[in-house]
Amino acid sequence: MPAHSSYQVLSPITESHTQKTRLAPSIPDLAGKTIGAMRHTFRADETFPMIEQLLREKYSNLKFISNTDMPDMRPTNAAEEAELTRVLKDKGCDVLLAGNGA
Amino acid sequence: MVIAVSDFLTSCRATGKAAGLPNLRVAVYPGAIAVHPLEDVQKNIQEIVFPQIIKLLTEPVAQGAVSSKVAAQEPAIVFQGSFEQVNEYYTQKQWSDGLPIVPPTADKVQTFLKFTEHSPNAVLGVLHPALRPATVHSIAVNGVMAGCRPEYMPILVAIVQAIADPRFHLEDAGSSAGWAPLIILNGPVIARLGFNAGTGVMRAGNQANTSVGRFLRLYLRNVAGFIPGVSDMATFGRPNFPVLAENESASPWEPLSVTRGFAPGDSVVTVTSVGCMSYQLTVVAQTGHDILYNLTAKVKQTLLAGDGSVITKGPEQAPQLVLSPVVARSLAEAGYSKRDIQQHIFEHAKVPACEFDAWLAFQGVVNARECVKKGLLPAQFAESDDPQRMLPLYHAPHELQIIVAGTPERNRFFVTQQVGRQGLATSKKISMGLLG
Repeated sequence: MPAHSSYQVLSPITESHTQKTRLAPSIPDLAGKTIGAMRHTFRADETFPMIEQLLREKYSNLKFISNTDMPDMRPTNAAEEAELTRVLKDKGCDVLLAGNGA
Repeated sequence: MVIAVSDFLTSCRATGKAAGLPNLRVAVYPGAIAVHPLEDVQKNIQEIVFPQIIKLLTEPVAQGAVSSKVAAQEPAIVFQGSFEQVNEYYTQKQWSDGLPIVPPTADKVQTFLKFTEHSPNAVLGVLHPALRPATVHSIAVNGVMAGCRPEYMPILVAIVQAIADPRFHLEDAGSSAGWAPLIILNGPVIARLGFNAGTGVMRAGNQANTSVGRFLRLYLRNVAGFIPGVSDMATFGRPNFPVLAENESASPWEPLSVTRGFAPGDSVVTVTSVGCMSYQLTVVAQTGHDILYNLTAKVKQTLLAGDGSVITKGPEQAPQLVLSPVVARSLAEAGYSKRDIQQHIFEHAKVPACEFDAWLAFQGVVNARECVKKGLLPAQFAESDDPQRMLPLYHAPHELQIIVAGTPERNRFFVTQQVGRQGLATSKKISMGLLG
């Protein structure tokens, strides 16, 4: 390969299809709201009950739906996202706590 | 909102940004929760995590800026310079795997595109976590960079089709388990393009096996967006595997692709995760029965040396049993078909439930019966509470993928643990139409 060679090169990446999504608005007072928890990973079965207890101590009339009463969902496409939305609506969730680990 | 351990904050941020949520609400747990005593977990949740949850939910969060883009239309020249300058530029842009790349000029890319029926702008899927479109043009660019030959293009396209398939769950390829994808090749394409299926099949050195394996890592990095420490959270990671081409001419059985439902004579690529791999073990046995006894013991030992949580990651697994031709032939001559071997190993590579539960002990799930209650295992794993009941290490006999490769007359084999839902074995037919 001659030392003087010059190359005009192309990018190996493609541009994202990402559309900006709005974060859900904050909820100044969680009293009376429904908070769902999802997934069993990374000691979630121990930590979600701790979080539930702390929430109940702080807010009156708060409904907490345990991860054991929620489906274990990890949507990765539009159809699965729609199904998660449907589940959250059916359960009446104002908030979803997910991940619990990574 | 998401709760994440501290090492995963960058990953959450990168994933959120790619999904259009740069300020995704993330409450951070400090350190590795799995090794913290319960009282420390309680303290951390109460004093560190819970206040974040309240603040993030009840106080306004800035929306953050993210650019809204569409797939690039015309590939643009991004840099001009010498071989060394190009490599320095790609390294700085994090577009390299650390080895010199072949400069992807428009002319070179065009030679690759001549070997596919797809248009350069065709999108084969949108890849997690960066949510970038897998265009045929980007496959050619990364193929050039990896040192592939243009005629490998149909294989590269099939590989990307496989990882873009939702069944593969590419989004998990950056998990801390650090698994690596293995490409298995079947069909006439092996001989046509000079893949090694014999001695040292998985040793770097043969251009076809090595460069195609490298291509996949570059593509995972550049298009899917798996950058170590940012969105690829492999605790240790594994090097790229060269392509495992099946030694079909030396096998007594139908190739893996036919077992997986493709027609004889099809060229097929299968991409699958490998979480752990056994030693390249020796068979010292003179009867089919004894060989099978040996294989069964090592399948069991390898899976037990792996991660028990894998069996709860989805309803299917694909562990691999790779036999040298002489081992396969000895079994075939003793009357065993692939199906016989799958059935025998599944039935005998079992452990008592108490041992199974110890294997499973992870993430707060402590036994098979609890996993069944949570829907993480099928009912067959909780048929009784007898701690001595025997349980299998995967779900069904057909899950064991039997492949024949390597030195024809060397009596060795190896076993891998596949990672369940994460990188589940996914096969795609290779279009051979333009190979002549």
